[in-house]
Amino acid sequence: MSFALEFRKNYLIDRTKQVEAQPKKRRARAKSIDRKSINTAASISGRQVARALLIAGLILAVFNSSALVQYTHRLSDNAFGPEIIIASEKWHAMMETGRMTEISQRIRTAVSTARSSSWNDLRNSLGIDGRRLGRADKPISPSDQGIITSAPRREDGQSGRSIRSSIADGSG
Amino acid sequence: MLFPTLNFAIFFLVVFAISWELKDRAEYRKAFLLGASYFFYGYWDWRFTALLAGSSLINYAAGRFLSLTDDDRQRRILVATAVVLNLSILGFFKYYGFFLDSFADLLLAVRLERDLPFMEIILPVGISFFTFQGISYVVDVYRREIPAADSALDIFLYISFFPQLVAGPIVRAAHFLPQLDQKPQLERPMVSLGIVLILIGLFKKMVIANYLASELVDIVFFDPSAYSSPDLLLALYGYAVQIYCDFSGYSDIAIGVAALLGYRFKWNFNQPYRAASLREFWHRWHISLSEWLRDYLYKPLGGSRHGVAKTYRNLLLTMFLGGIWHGAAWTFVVWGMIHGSVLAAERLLASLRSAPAPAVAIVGFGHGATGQLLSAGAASQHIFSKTVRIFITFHVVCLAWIFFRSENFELAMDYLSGLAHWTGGAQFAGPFLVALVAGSLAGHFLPETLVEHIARRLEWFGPIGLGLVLGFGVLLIEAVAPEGVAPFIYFQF
Repeated sequence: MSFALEFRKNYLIDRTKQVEAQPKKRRARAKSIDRKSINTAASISGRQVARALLIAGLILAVFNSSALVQYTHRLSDNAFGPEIIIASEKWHAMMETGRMTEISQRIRTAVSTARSSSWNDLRNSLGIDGRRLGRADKPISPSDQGIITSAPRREDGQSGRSIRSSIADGSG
Repeated sequence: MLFPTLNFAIFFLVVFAISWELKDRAEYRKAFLLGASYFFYGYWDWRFTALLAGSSLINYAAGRFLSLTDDDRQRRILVATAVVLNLSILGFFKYYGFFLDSFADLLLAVRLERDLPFMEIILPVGISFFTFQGISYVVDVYRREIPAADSALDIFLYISFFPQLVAGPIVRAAHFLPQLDQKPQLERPMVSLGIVLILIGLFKKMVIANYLASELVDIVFFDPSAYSSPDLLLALYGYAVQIYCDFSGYSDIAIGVAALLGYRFKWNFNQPYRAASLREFWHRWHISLSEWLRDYLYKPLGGSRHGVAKTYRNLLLTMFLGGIWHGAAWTFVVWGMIHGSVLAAERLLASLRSAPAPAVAIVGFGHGATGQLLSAGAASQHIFSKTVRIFITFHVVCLAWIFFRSENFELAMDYLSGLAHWTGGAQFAGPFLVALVAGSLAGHFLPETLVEHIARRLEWFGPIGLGLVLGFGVLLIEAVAPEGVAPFIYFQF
């Protein structure tokens, strides 16, 4: 074979075939990676999910440490005595110092504000004309509507207990 | 032990970890889950674990005996005996006091007062649910729809499995028992769906249902005569939302918890307040109970196969029994009868309509401008008609809820009277409560597959991502929810 033909074979024809072959190999590799990803992604081990549950628990312990204190106080006659209560209170104090409990407190404050807001407050916050329209803005006194009330509305919103009443004190 | 408590969270963490460690040893896993379920039930009252075990034994034994004979008469006697035993247990615990009181009232009315034997019966939690589950197993074996289980462990676990033990869904043996035979698999779709359902269920129960109960419903229903008509109406809508969120929230958590343990439960609610008829409502509300009533009561009574009069009788009887299943009170009977009557009326109206008018007659109007205008008009008419039907169905359901929620008949009538004589202004209709009620009702018109879409997004999250979603989700719910833990409404049934 002449030099020119050999050069053409080595550096042009064979090279072209090599370059054409590469994307196929790369494509095949990518497919096999995809297949592996799909195969591993479809299943998940119990330990991985347990890890997820523990992470969730840790988040709650850090950002909602007050609930931990309430829980330990509700535990009655536990085998660990007051130590567990002291430990939970120390943990809660640490979280408060680190300002970890601020998120929940801010959310609770915002919800409390929303609960006690009137339509006027909503209009003011939205920048709408503050003219009063709804009766809900003003507590209606019974004498205004000629109604004799036998049970005044309680401040705490609690009603009498009955089998159909669905509020109870906290119990775990 | 209630779902939204730290006790349950610790319990579930332990059960989850150990059950998946035992996944390659099926019998040990089942035994462990059975033990965990009895621990869960015994946490309420350990005395009733004997009742649960007794009920499971009756159903297991009935199944075994049914498999030993092919004689029709013997099989009928066996299934009847098992059903009577199940219903006797349910009837004693649930209805003894009611019948005694009613009998005493009757004797008083005819001036024949007597001292009747008094017993304070404590209602075991979940008795209606696990009794119905047991009956469905025995009847399915009798009908040869499923083979009788060889293993007592399987039946005991099927009846007592803790996610659905105390408030459903009422799981069918045909759906659950085969899953016990398979090697449990933890798949990403199930894990992500489980986490999403748990979060949605907790939000529905701890936030929506609890706020509506404590700040509106319990107050107004306690003494309806003290409140104005707009408040009564808002409280009624509030109760419709509260009971939906309370009950479907529990079902969501139960299905989610079961999914994390590798078991699939069917949906129990499907946006019921978007139903355009009461019939459709019962395909969307407490689906497991309505299917149970259909398959084990309505169809055995004859269903709609024996003429018009018997169809109406069967509908009324089924809903009457559906009503008293909820509790021993005349208000539940009235609730059931309202549903039965309207279902019968719907059937009557459907049969009286001559040719069903096409809801949308797009084909046939042509493709020109006039045709398109007429098509649009027909479509609008369909939408308007459907909206009206949804509106009417929702208010029929709300009317029945008045009786369902009221302590007694007199309070229910006070409620209706307050609504009928429209007076006064709205004291409770502040932005928070109105938004809670309106937003929850609007949520019924979101796409039905939205939950699955959200779950699919989570599928590719790793353990850290899933933990963050779950942790911050629960944190947000805890922060928004009111203080205290209220029991689920359906625990009293």
